Amino acid sequence: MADETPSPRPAWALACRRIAWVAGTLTFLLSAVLLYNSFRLYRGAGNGKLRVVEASGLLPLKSKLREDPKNEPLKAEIRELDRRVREEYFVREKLAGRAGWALLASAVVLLGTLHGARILSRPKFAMAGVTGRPPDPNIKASVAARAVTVSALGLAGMALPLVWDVSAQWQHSGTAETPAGGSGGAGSSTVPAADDFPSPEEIAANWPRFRGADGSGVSSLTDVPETWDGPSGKNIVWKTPLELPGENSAVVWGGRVFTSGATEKRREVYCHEAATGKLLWKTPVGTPQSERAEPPEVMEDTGHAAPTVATDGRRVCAIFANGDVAAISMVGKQLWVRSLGAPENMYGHAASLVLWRNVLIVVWDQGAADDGKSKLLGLDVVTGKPLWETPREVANSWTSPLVIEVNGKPQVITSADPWVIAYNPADGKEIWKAKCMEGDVAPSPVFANGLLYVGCDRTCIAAIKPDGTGDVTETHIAWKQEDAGLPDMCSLLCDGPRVYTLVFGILYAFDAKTGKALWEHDTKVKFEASPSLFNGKLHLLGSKGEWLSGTADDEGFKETGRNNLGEGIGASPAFMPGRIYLRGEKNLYCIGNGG
Amino acid sequence: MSKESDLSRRELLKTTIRGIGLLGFGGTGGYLVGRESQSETRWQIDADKCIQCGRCATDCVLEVSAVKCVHTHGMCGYCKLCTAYFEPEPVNLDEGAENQLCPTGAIARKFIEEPYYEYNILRDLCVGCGKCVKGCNMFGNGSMYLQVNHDLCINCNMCAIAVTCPAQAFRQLPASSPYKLRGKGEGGK
Amino acid sequence: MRRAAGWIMLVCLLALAPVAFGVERFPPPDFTDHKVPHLVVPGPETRGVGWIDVVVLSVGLLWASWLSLKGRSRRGVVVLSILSLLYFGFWRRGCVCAIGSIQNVALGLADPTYAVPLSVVALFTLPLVVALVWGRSFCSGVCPHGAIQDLVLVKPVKVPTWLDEVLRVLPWIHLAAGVLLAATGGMFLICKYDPFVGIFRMAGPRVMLVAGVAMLVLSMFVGRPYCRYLCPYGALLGVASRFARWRPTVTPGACTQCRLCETSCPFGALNPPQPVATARERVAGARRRLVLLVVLLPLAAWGFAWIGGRAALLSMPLHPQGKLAALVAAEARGEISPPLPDELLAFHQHGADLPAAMSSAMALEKRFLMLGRVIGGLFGLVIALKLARILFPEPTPDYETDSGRCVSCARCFSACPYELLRRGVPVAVPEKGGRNG
Repeated sequence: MADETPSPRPAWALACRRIAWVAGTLTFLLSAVLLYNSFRLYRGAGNGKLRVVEASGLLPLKSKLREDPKNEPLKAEIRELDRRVREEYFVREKLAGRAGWALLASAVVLLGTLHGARILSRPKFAMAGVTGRPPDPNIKASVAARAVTVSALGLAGMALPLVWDVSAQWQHSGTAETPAGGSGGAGSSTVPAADDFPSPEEIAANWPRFRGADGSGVSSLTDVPETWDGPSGKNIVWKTPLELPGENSAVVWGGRVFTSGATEKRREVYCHEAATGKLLWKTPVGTPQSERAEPPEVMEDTGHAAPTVATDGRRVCAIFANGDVAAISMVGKQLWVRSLGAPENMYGHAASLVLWRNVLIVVWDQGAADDGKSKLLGLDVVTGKPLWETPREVANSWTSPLVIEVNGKPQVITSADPWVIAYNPADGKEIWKAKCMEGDVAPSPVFANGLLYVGCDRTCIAAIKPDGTGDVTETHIAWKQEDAGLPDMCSLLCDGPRVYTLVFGILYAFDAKTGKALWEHDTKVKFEASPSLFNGKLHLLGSKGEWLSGTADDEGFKETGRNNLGEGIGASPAFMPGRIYLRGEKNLYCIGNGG
Repeated sequence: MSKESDLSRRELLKTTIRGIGLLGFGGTGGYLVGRESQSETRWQIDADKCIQCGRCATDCVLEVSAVKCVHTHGMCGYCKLCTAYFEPEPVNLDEGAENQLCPTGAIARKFIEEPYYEYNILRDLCVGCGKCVKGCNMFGNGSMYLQVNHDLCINCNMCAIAVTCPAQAFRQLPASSPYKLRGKGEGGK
Repeated sequence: MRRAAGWIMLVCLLALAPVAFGVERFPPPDFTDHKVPHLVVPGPETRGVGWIDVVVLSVGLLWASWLSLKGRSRRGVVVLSILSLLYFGFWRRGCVCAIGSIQNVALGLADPTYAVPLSVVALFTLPLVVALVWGRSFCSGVCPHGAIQDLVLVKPVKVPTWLDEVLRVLPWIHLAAGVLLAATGGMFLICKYDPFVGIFRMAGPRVMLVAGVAMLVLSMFVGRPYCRYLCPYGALLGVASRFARWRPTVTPGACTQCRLCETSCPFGALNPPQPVATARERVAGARRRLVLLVVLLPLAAWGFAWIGGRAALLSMPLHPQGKLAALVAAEARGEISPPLPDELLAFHQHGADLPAAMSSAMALEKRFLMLGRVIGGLFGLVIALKLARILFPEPTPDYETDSGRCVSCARCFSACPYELLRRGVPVAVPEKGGRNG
């Protein structure tokens, strides 16, 4: 440590060395003690948790005591353990401080003696140690340069796999405008991309919205059970009560069944496990605005949760009568919520939601046609912010929109009084419209045979060719049927050759190509739910829980079977392989063979 | 190209760079010092953001965390059944270890008048785990909350708890008013 | 039992109410004869006063510079470094320090609302200014991190040149990462991975303390491992001191190349004589330099800018907001199953403003990308210039301290016979080339 070198003093040097040994040993021991102490204070690596806070041994004892509050020995045991844990904590905490200072002191002694020993045993200024040839700086430089080059390249090389990884994520989530791996900064590896939406195959394999992927109520499945009975439980796989009422239908995605329910005050979205019926989560939906606002007036039959939820397997979107629209993650966390305000709607809002790519389509019809209050909204599913908003010159309606593809281009079909209008879901621009509706339009349209079938109870059932532009009232209405069988509430159903309507318990059939009335069949059952089709049979769901199945041809309807749910049905069923998910008045049912 | 000119050229280059460097460092320093926002700060918790995750107790660089519970008595309901003091479902409403929530017994309970009890934090025992704060926030008035105690805090350049705080509840407040207390007129020294 | 039942009912009732903060559920009672205590909070500790730090720092820097340039006293440097260790280290508990101040300055420049206290600005600028004039005297005399490593060095081992050069790239990586995360307002990485601050405070995370002790044990045999192979501020000081007006010289007089000082530097900062190139070599050298300048510099800058941008994106989860966004995104994809991590709990408890979280994450991502590219490009330049310096060393006729690496520790002085003569120690001056040269 000194500049001048004193003459060697071997005795002192030896003493220093001995003290250094002692101090070194002490330093080592103290370090070990401190390390052990630290493990006793904390659990786990790093800091982990404080042992005294965890005191995990206490928890089971405490819960045991709660079951048996009179158990005095147990109480004493808890107190004793609690005291021991706390005492150890405070003793060890003090020890940590003191041993730390001791360690510092012994380390200083160790260093001092080590330096002392070195200095004391160092010879006087000597020329020793300088031997051999002087180093050749050039060789050293080239070796070093090579090493640095190699390590720089190595560094870059190490980074490369990561870079590819990032690029790959970019490619996965990059938007069309941003080429993958390009210099643009729009891509992201951590933020969910706006264009992460399911493939058509994925959608077709699920039941993502009201009346299935295409909104037709038609399923191509053939292994769906046809006979079952609610009260006796025959072929009922499970039955789970639903907490809040709702007229909406069940949708199914990836082993989960989604429904919603609401009263004046509360709104909830439910997720049940498709296999067992277990409630996986329920998520309340609400906004400060809607909590303060007056609840909307609704008709009892419609309720506060008439619209069916829609899912894309990334989120579930739900809308309620008070105008709260929300997206919930697949594990039940609310992603966003917006309040559209209570609509001016005679019976209560009922139009279901539809998802197209990243757009949540909301038909928000209210008031009269000339009020200027009705609109179609396209919300960003990721943020809930409106992507576009298109005013509609229509009155309040209760039909669910349909997304169809015409000549490779998507159209959102809406049906209201007086216009049937098609929009581009990407920007909300109107494509075509036809004036053929009147009154309270409730039956949702269906699309089949390249024709759009719409109907209402005042004017007509009509088939519209959806390839026009502008006002197509005069040009694109393929046929119109204005006499009998005009639907009032239940949506239309098309099995290919025929279109069916269901009104006041009577099933009417029309020729799908010409609109010619074929026959009518009085079932003497009251219907609210929309009819469905699978296994080549029509399935009609009565409002008292009757389920009629039957075959139909150009001649008439032949009832082949009748099931009974045992409670009222207002919802349409969801068909999955081997299973029907059906919402009754109070319970959610899973129907399957051998249940 | 003589040796001398080579060296002098190097020297000139160095002088230029040195000048630029001096100007740069001086300018940076001057800019930062001259800025209005320049002032001493202290770390503090925004109690409204805190979710009582328990990391304050473990992530402080001090052996015992500088974060401790404080209690605004003016907001306290003096409940007989204090959810900050008692375990959920206490066997008896007394100070037996089996009933207390605080792992270090750092809350003193004192009878005032029926049915009111006063609760005081024993600062030396508190480790800042936030269990009582959770109880008080969930079911009570929220009069107990966590704060960085500035006689203990060594005001690290980057607070180790602030980095790991899942609620991003740490703020840097001016050193002149380093607490974010609840209740009106609180904050005596 | 009745009490318990009542309690459960109470809980049920309250559970229905939305969780709120600081809500008055139970009105505070009006006591007739009990005074409700006033909340008393302890005042801030007064160990550190900004302007005292600045004064101590300035005095220390001047003193250290004088000791290494004029006083030429190792003993003085040791005394000063012990004093600095005690003040900046154990008294001020290592915080704030010049090394950490890089981050404050980076954040201060990036975010105009961020307050950088005077002492921190001084800690950042003064040592750099001094380095431009007198070399790295901060490292030897004032920096507590340098002092603690230097004081425990008992048996230095020479690090091979190639390994030394490679390891000296690490501080730049540390600096790049530290500046990136600080300027984006994420965290102070350099503080988080500071090995000695736990020792100064005598407390800290176990990992930090164990790493600190390990680093100290290493420092007993390898001279200043943190300074040389990790310290980001040392990297900056190294660049500054290359342009220093004055810096320590081994000999107070003329060098006779006796080679006695050759092994005296434990930090590999003493350069042997570098022959002046012949005219022909100079031409070849100039040509190679030109190639380097035209090809290698832009290539390195571009390449590392590219890597930097992407590495920055990868490091985004180190930023609290980036981490939250990643968690929220994962949750939205249904990849997170309960129990939720604390970050998500906090997110949901505070209204789960997904749009805000996402848009701030997007903005953050852009900043990461941009900063990452800039920092990566600069890093590439540093690497290329490092290569250039190794390949084209300055011609030095004598044994000289390396302008960038010398930390002014004053060890080499006493190895020089001329220095001993100057001090009045009677020694025989050896001939050129040493005994066996």
